[in-house]
Amino acid sequence: MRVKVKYFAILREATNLGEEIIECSCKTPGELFSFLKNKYHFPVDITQIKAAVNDEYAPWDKPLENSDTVVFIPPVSGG
Amino acid sequence: MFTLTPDPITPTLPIPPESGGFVSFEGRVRNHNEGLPVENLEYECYEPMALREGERIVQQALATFNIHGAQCIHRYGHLSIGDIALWVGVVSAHRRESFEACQYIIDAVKALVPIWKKEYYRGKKPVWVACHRCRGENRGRASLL
Repeated sequence: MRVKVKYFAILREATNLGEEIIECSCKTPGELFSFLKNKYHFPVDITQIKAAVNDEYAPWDKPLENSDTVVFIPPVSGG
Repeated sequence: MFTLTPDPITPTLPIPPESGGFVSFEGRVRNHNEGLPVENLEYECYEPMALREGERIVQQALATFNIHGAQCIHRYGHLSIGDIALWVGVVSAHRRESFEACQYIIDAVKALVPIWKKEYYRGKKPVWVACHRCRGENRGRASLL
């Protein structure tokens, strides 16, 4: 599986990256988040995060496809 | 219409002659939060998704409430105390629908639009502010729309 992951706010600072291409065996956003949390030691838990796939909020068990763009959304604080 | 801008907010919502009610809300940068003195702050957004989610919210307000028009503008980048970070305007025949729609738009934007605020304090490390009040509400759009 080859997907693009974009990072924002606290996750951008944790990775020092705006985005990257990830190749792994992760089949869902949930598996991908666990893989990346282990790699970068994200300072947030999955229960505080939402997943978006191709600019739409998505369930953690949504099947990923090659070339998907995944964003992990930290708690939003606009307004 | 929902828009994002790095520049000072300039509303453009037309007020048609059939609209007797116009409600606007300005969210401004305040100089304190949770007991800490705030010096300035920064908003970051995931622009394509923020625009899509924000526009959905405004369109949902137009479909749900008996209003004539609505506009929401969110600023991003570095802001100073007193700057307007968020502007919402709604027009309708009477006041009640405008108040309700304005409240709806603000609440939904704060819960769903991927925008993040980083506060800078005097003598302390800056912090990404979590939306404590919204946590639990923002697990899905269904609860709001």
